[in-house]
Amino acid sequence: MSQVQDSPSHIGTAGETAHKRRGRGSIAADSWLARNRAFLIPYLLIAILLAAAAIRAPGFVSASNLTQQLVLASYLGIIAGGQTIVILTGGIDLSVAWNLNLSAILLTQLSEIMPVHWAAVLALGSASLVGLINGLGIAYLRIPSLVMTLGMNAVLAGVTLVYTNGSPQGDAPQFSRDLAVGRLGGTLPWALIFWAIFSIGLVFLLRRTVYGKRLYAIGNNVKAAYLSGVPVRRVLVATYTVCGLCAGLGGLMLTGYSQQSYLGMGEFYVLPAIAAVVIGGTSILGGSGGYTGTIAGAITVVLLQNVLQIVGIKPAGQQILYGLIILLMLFVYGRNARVRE
Amino acid sequence: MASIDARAPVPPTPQDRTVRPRPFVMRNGRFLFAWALLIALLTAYITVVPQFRPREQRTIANSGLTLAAASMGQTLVVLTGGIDLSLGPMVSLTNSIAATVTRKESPRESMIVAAVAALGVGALGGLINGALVAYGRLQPIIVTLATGSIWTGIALYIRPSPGGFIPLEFSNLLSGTAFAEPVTLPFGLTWNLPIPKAAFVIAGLVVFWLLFRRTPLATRIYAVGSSEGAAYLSGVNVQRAKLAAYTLAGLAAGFAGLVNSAQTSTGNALSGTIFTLNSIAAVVLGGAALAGGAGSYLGTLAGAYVIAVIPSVLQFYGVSSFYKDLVQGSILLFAVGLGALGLLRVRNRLDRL
Repeated sequence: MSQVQDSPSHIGTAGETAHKRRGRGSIAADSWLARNRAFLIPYLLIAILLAAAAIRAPGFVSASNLTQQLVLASYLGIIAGGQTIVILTGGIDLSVAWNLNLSAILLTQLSEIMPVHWAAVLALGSASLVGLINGLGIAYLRIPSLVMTLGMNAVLAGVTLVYTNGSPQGDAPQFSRDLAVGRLGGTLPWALIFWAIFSIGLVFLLRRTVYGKRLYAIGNNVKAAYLSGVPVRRVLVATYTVCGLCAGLGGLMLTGYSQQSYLGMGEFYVLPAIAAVVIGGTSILGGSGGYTGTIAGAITVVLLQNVLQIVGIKPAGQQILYGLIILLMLFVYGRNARVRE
Repeated sequence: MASIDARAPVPPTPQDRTVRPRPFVMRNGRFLFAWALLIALLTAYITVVPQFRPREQRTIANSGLTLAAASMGQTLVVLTGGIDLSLGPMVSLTNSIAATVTRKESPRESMIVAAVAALGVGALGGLINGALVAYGRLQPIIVTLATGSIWTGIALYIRPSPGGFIPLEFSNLLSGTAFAEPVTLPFGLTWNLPIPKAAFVIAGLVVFWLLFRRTPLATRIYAVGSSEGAAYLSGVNVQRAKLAAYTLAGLAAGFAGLVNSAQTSTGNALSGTIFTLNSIAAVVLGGAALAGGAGSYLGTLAGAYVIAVIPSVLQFYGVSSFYKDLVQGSILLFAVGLGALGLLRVRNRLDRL
């Protein structure tokens, strides 16, 4: 009985909420532009950022530098991929920070004592296992995702500190360096090829599979989804597991990028990943959005960080602009319905 | 009707006035767990520490003071069903302001100015959060994520590198020891028990809470958190209640910034970062529901000190400080896991979602 009020995102029918969320105008009258607003706005933002960079520093928009920016965006994009599907269910995963850190450290430390492929499997396995535990706690014990992943993050930080004794050892294996900074034929970065495959896979998963439909159904209205026969708990567990796996993949790539693992490497990717998802037009309430927006969101966030630096804005100003742009995005994408009953 | 068997009474309907409430221990499981844990931790600390002198008492009382102040704000926001991720950055910002406004030439006067500025900026920041959430109808988690980024930016402008000046008198005022010298009372009595000044701050916070709890505003905040729609239909100005909760949360963060300044004697634009997540952990440990409408600052206070005391206890038991996060996280997960016991009595599978 009180459950209905516990989750304001799930009040009312799915269509009604989605409709209200979009704001004024009827659904039928929405033009292509209005329907794809979530998709178009981040790309518009990218264009503005590039124009600003081109005026101040023409070298910034060279092909080689833009490729480099995309490579940087690929790390964030893959981490944000996991966050996207979790947010689509109406949850959030804050354990990404130390989850990716632990898997990065496992990779460098284990590859010293065993074949690299086993180290990679164990690193990704541990990241998925963390996601699985998150999912079990959230779906079966009904712990709010924010609290579950917050507690998990602290536990992982502790496990990592104890495991490494404060100083992670080892270097990034060659394959992870190739994946992060290597180039196919000296031109096309492997990171971008991997990101493209990852994106196609994730978009396919969301748009063309039963799992994808169930994910959106849960995000829109978990009770309606349950009554329609969606195995809610299993879908949630799977979602958090995939999110953990994405964090692990991000950890592998970041290790390759910095050639080693270090403590705290994940901290700078949690909030930017959430920002990428929100800028990409996925509703934080769940049920609407998708990964194509997040791709643009990830590029926007990376460009924002680097262009602001190029244009000569200090870190203080970057923080402020970053916050203002997220707020602006929230207003553009539409607000919650008024609660009147 | 004769067919009703006296040994198998009809289960009472929810509307039935005679329905028996759940036992006190069940209803307040996490609240009691937090206090039991705090008492256990303090006992463990006192038994192992060589001496429990005023200095140790002061250390323990001070260790959780900033978090206790910040958690007051988080409690109020969580009661409305929201969350404030900008609390930590606001602690940093007010800490930076306080350490920058003060002047060595006039420590006392400038510190008063700094305190007023910190509280004012805190309340203003909270007001902005509240306006965006209540009138902008935006999601609290992402709004406060964004404003938190803005507060950090402003703090970095004011204090690009750690430093500044906090008068010693001020540090002493909030984190020193009272009655260090025996005090002569009337009727020939003397008071020779030193008390950490932090204890008075805590007492002040508790008294504020107990008084606040009796105001109509507190009732409205609980009502909004329980059911926004029902609160609206009962004539509660939902938006104004939310605005007030966020503004008070900002004020609490400003006060926490002052406490932080007193304890660290310096200004740092990133000093408050840890208080965001720790304040949420304290609120959850203390038994409040993240969905809103249930909880109390009295529980949060225990939660805050549990989190703050753990490192000291581990240290005196010779456990590496690396275990600090592990222990804190495990306790948080265990406490929320206790809530899963409630699922055992849920009859309707739909309610288990």
